[in-house]
Amino acid sequence: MNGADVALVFRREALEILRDRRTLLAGVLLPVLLYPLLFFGTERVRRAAKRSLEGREVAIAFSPGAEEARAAIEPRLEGRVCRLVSGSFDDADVSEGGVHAIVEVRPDPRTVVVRFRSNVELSAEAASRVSGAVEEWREEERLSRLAGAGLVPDPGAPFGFVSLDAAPPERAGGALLGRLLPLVLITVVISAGSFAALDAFAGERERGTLETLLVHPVSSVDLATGKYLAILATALGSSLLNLASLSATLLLAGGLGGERAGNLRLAPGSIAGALLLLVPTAALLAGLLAEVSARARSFREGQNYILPLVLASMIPGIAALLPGVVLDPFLALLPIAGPALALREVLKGSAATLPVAIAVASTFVYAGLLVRRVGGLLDAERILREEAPERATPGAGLHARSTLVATGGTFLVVFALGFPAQARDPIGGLLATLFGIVLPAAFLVARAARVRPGEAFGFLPFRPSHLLAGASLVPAASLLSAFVLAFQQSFLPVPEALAKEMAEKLQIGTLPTLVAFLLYAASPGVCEEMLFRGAVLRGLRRDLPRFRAVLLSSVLFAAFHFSFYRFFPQAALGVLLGFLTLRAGSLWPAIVLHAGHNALVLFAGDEVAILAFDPRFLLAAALGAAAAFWIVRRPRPR
Amino acid sequence: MSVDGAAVRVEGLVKVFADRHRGTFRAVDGVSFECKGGEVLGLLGPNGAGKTTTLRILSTVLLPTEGKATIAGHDCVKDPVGVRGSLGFLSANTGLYPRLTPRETLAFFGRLHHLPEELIEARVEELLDLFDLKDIAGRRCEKLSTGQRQRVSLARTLVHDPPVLILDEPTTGLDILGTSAAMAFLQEKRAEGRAILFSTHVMPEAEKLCDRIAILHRGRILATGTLEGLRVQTGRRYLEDIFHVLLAST
Repeated sequence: MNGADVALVFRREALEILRDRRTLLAGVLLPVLLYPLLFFGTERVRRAAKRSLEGREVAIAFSPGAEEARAAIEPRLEGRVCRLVSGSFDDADVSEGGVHAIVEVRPDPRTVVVRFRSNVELSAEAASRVSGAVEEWREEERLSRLAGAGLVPDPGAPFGFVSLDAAPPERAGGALLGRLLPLVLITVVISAGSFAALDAFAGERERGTLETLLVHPVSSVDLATGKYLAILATALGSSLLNLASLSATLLLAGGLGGERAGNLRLAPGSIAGALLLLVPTAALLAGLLAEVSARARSFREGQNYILPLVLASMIPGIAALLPGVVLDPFLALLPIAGPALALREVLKGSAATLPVAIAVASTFVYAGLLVRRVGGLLDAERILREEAPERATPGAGLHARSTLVATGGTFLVVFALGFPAQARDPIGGLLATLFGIVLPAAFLVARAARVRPGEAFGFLPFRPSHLLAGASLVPAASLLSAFVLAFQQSFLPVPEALAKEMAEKLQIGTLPTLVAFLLYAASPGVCEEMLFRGAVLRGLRRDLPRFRAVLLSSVLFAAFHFSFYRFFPQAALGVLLGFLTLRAGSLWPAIVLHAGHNALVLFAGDEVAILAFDPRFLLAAALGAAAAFWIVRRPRPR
Repeated sequence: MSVDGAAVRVEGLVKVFADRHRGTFRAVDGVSFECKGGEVLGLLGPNGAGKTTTLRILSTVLLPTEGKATIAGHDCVKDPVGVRGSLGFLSANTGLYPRLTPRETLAFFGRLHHLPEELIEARVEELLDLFDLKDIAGRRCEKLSTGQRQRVSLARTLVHDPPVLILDEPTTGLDILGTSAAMAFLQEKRAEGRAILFSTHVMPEAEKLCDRIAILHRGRILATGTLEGLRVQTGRRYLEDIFHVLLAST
């Protein structure tokens, strides 16, 4: 490696990044302004809103018979702007311009009633003022009665109770920041780093400067290294600005006596710990960003790739920050989740040295492994081959269209014949649908798209390692659909009755295990994969770029299940299956993965959803996915 | 700067692209030619003929599947660094860094060639003068017109004063004035003794400028020779007709 060349490339990248308005926005303005806006902005708005309501006059009406209440309440509203009236009013009179609360007193038992409208702001305010006054009045009367009866102030209360927080203010604040800061820092690193990465790799290709760069007497490893360092510097610089802004905001807020920010403080040790964890994490994420954007042909394509990366990095981050998860040496090994948890513990001041050290060290190792790959990112053979001149053939788009039409026809047949059959006989109907409709449809769609069956299904040459790849992705796939389902539950919960009815119809639990496996795991694995990842994906791929073909085939696959609730989990699974198939050039891994995923859901059921949040399962999924990625890596064409 | 003998020598060059879904594809299929110092050799052919792939192999960004190519005596496979030092290369659809100025661009590429700083400074000023870029030398490249950008790109190929120039469709996107300026530039560089290899599918350009022409189709050379030689060989006057006759004879 030539240090001078790396530095030269780094300087040019850094200069262009600094001159780019977009990076400036994502890398400087946003991270710096985030905290002031968050603390001062919301605090101010809240206070201003409160003050403006507190200063307004409200009209409180007392119904006939509430004279005593009026006499008791009136002095207790002293100092508040209230207009008291007496007379007969009903609910219809409560409005912005009328009276705002009506007080009446009902006998047996004597009850004070406050009528108001919660949807009228001033009415809610009036009710809250009256309630406060009534509470005071009642307490005073209670105490005077007790005294009249010669009793101690409160014979009903066995003992007093006060809780005192012994944590120093900076630690208490640290616990709150610990929940927030790791995610904010991951977001800042990715948002600033992604612009730098897209500009350095995908942008370079799009502008047509990459080929020029590659014909200069500088090794492609040095070029890639210089670019990587520029991405890392941008990400780190931006997160340092973010930390500095946080410290400054907290100091200022403390000095100004801000209500909520006042007791948030960062100990100097916490800042040092945060930096120690930040550097390897940023190195890791910068490596990922470089890898992703170097595979994109254009800025826009790169943006498409970065969005899933953002989500994929946030999930371990969020999972680690769930309450109840405690950092142990095992969790510390998880990429992103380990350092996020360690940072939380450091800010709380309760970090054990060993797990934090493991988190730092393992992240450095992961980053190192990624950085080793960076050198190969500017492989001209790969980059220029992707631009090979075999596009723009006449009739482009026809294959994709025929694929869609043929698939639509299949949907109709399943709807018209398959579903009625399944309604009469769930098991026989399912078999008829899969082997009588879906499997022949795979061949018909392939024919419509003019893809030879051998090419569409890629069963040969058979590689046993492909079976292993499919199997080792099962935990990751289950995790993916469990996460999507869990996320979907928050806005679209599956009705329990529906889930129960489904289980009964499928006779899960009454069938022998092997029969259930063949019926619900193996058969859909083979038939659906041959249709969707075989014929449909290959047909679409004839005209569409990889990403779009995979996405479209996944949407079709998800729609095919004719279930609103299963759509998103199935679509996510379809994306994984699609990329796996294209990468392997064979349908075997997808068939094994599909069958394995179904089997896991079938036999482990709800436990998968619980397992999904177990860090050990997460690790198993990550290792399995890495193994699969390694096994089906593309052979280099000679 | 000039080189004696063949500055560019290409023998039996083959490039096979392997695509898992489409099988193999021979983009260049046994191409041989030479180009001497002070000579302009035009590679002429339709889109997809293999011009760009051939030039990319010569510029060392792609490795040949078979065959041998040398630039100023340096082997393209064994000594790529030597080749890159002797070569000014302008790729098709070449671009510039949008947020660098022409002056910064030229200096950056000079440094990539490891030239000493004083030399870079002198060379940059000389090239800015030569290409009439003085007035816009401090403006960002994203603000320049297509013609101005192409002038910056051409200047960039000369920053290390190479004996061989390889230009892939250098007139694409240029208007009449831009094209004639580029042609004048090529003639001037030829007069200085440089070997110039350029590809085009614009026949009149080739007729006007080339000392010799190699006609490529589907990765193979159909004929090489002077315009006069090709006229005699085919019995046609215009290059376009010559091309069609050669195509029909395959």
